[in-house]
Amino acid sequence: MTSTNVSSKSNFYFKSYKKERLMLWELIRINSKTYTRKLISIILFFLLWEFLCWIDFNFIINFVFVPTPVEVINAFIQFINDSPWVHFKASILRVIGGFISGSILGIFVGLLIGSSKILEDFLATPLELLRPIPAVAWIPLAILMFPDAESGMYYITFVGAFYPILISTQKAVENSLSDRLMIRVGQSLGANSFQLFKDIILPSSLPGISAGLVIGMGNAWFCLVTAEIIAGRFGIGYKTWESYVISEYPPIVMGMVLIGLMGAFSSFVVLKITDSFMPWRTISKDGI
Amino acid sequence: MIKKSKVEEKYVLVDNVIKTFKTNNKKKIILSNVNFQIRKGEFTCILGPSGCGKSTLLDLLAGFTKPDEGLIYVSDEVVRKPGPERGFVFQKNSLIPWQTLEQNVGYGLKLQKINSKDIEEKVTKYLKLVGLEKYRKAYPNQLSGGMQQRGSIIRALITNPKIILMDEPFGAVDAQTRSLLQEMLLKIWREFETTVVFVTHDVDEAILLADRVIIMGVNPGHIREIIPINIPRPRSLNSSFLEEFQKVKIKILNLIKEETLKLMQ
Ligand SMILES: Nc1ncnc2c1ncn2[C@@H]1O[C@H](COP(=O)(O)OP(=O)(O)O)[C@@H](O)[C@H]1O
Ligand SMILES: [Mg+2]
Repeated sequence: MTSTNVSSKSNFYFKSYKKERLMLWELIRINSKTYTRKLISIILFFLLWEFLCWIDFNFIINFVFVPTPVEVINAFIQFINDSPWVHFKASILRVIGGFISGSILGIFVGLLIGSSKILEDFLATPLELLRPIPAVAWIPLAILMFPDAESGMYYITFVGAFYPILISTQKAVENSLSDRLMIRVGQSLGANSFQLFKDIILPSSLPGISAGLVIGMGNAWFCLVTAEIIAGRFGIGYKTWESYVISEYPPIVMGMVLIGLMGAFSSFVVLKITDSFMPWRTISKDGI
Repeated sequence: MIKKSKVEEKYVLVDNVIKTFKTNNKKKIILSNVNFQIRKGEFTCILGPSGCGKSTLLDLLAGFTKPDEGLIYVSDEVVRKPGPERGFVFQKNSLIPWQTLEQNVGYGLKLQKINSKDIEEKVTKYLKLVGLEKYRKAYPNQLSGGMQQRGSIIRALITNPKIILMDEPFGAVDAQTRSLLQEMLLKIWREFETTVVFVTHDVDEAILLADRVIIMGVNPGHIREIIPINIPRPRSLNSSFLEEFQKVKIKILNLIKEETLKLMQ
């Protein structure tokens, strides 16, 4: 049960009647319930994992070689003691670089093909043909096409981020363009095409674009291991891959968990930032 | 109150308008040979069975759509596209969701590159006019339906349009609020001396508000009859007790009933 009122500050007085009834202590109570539940779910997850390793579970899925949570934590402590910052920095830069370039290009092209039939006809088909190609399949070309390994790696995370952002933006714009009422409102108040785009189409597309950015950020992390296979000596993905090559299992799982954590965290940050651009929305879940 | 110079007699001129819509590649005539004129400052209501083409006609007046044949003039200019010189009030939910109430009301002025201080002054004045100045910072989803409609009305009015077009603006608010909104609209209309074309399906509303009621017929949409309402102003809810009110109401109800029956055959 969550109730998020994204609007803030001066709009405090205009919260709906039902929201006003949520006194502070009620909010705390509801939220603390959520946090407790979330904490319990995490603990149960690790306990289950430990348990399956402990009994050497082996039915369809084999847990015999899976490192236990404790082993993974030990691998993490070792990793932390051994100058981890270079790895973090390398990976974070690759993900952020791919994400930012993917966002800029994805939003730009998405706005174009979402709002223009001609541009859609020219651009959409080749983009659509390239879209299903998985990041791994890009590795050889990325090595051949880019001057150095680093830019090749940026390219792979870029591909991961670009497509969800592109498609979400395009669909969001098309959806906004189908809202005849808002377009007529703008027209009858005297907006020209550019003003209509800036004041009506773009803001109404923001929720869709935001979803694309959140998925794109996750996808950039998703593609990180693939990217860091290309080359290099640094990076969380590289570390994971290297451990696999030398058959050291705990660091693999550690790398996976780290990527999961950082991916989830950065998606969360993107979500919060984009939400702050949409203060007009009131989101009610579970009928609160 | 209404001056009677030649131009002002034909302030709005709908001249032989025909409108068709294509559905499944078949052209269907929605409005056939629609002709009428409206005087400057006049309050005109359009009544007719649902689906007879009232909204279609109002969209043509606004310039949202173009007639297949014929022309529409407002104040001696042919209507070609929508613009702030013809204010439009939609049925509901037409405040822009990502703009606060004051941004919504001032949006038309902002598009005209008027400086923000003047906009703020004017917006405040108009918000006060409809009792919404406390809510200027609220987003539309924080306002009731009636408040949103008041906001839409002053948003259309603030650019000083030649005419205000309203498509069932009170159709989605509850009865008590509707009656308040009607009186508020009459007050504004008197004060600003605007020309209003008001589509409704509520006969009492039409009689309460209008100088003349245009009754539309069906198969295809056309002007069935134009009925002048000679009930003295200022009018209020009490006006409905007048004999004249009841007489004209029965006349209109019968006309609409006739047209509605045609739809069922
Ligand atoms: N965009 C459109 N395309 C096809 N048919 C339409 C369109 N808009 C309205 N119509 C048809 O025109 C007729 C009149 O519609 P409308 O003007 O909305 O009626 P009213 O407002 O009087 O209820 C209806 O039969 C409707 O189906
Ligand atoms: Mg209608």
